[in-house]
Amino acid sequence: MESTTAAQERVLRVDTRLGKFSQGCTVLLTALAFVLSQPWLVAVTAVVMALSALVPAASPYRLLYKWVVVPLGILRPRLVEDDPAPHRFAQGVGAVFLIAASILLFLTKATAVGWALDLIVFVLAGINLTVGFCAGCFVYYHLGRLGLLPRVRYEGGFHWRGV
Amino acid sequence: MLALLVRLGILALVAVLLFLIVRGGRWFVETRRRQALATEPLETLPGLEKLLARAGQGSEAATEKAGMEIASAVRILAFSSDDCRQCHQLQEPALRRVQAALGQRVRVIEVDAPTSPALTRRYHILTVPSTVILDAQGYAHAVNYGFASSQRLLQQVDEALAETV
Repeated sequence: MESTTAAQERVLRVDTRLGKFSQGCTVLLTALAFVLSQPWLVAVTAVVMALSALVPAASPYRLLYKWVVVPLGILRPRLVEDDPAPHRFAQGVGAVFLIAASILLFLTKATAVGWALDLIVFVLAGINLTVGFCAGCFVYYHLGRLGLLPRVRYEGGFHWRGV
Repeated sequence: MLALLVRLGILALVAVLLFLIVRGGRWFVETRRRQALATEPLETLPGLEKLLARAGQGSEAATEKAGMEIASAVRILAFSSDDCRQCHQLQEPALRRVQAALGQRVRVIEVDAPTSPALTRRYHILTVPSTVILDAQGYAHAVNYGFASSQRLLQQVDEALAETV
């Protein structure tokens, strides 16, 4: 996710259009994988989302957005005040679901469960795309309240505090 | 081919369910917002002095003076709680920017949601952070459940100011 530095009066910002683009792609990929019954598409989405969560700079969604979508004028960046950390966490949750789905689809006979996980990601990404409610962020804030998460702070990079 | 159709059907069903959940959620929040906007002006509430005292006015005279000052300004009730990360990380800086931009014309009153049940009930607060924009007469002009950006707050305050002048 897009974020600016502490220099700009410490305003946390997120590019919502990049977020919407990522969610749209996730919705499309998970739906296509399910309809066409292609487990490899689930695995691809899992890798893409894991990359977005772990190394935002190398996120394929972000690269596609930055080098194709924005230059072609399909979407224009729109920075809003928001904290990028929970969104990153949410993508991580999506990645975990999809990795679990891939494992189930490729290595076990419990394919129904695998597809169910795929559809859960479809639904949650869909909710975020349409109403802007980010379920992963919700979990993030509640884990933070319960003190279960190490306090992750975003300041241009990740700093782990109080682990 | 049949399998494909079955899968398409399941996906359509999931999408319809998703749509209904979203519609239901929106309806629920909008109902709350309407109820909150329809409440009486806050001036009549006896708890106002207490609120002002909490907002940082010490002596009685100061409270009175602040009360008169406040009566002619737009107020923002900012609901938060100690353990609300989003309130401190996002909402408070946004409110500070609004305050800096508008100065005397707006008054931000911090409300601790867990210890102010009267106000949270009154404005049907569902979550923290929440912000309520009160116009000069004390009517709720806008209610934001969840984080409201400074642009959004500025626009709402401007509307409330235009309404009263």
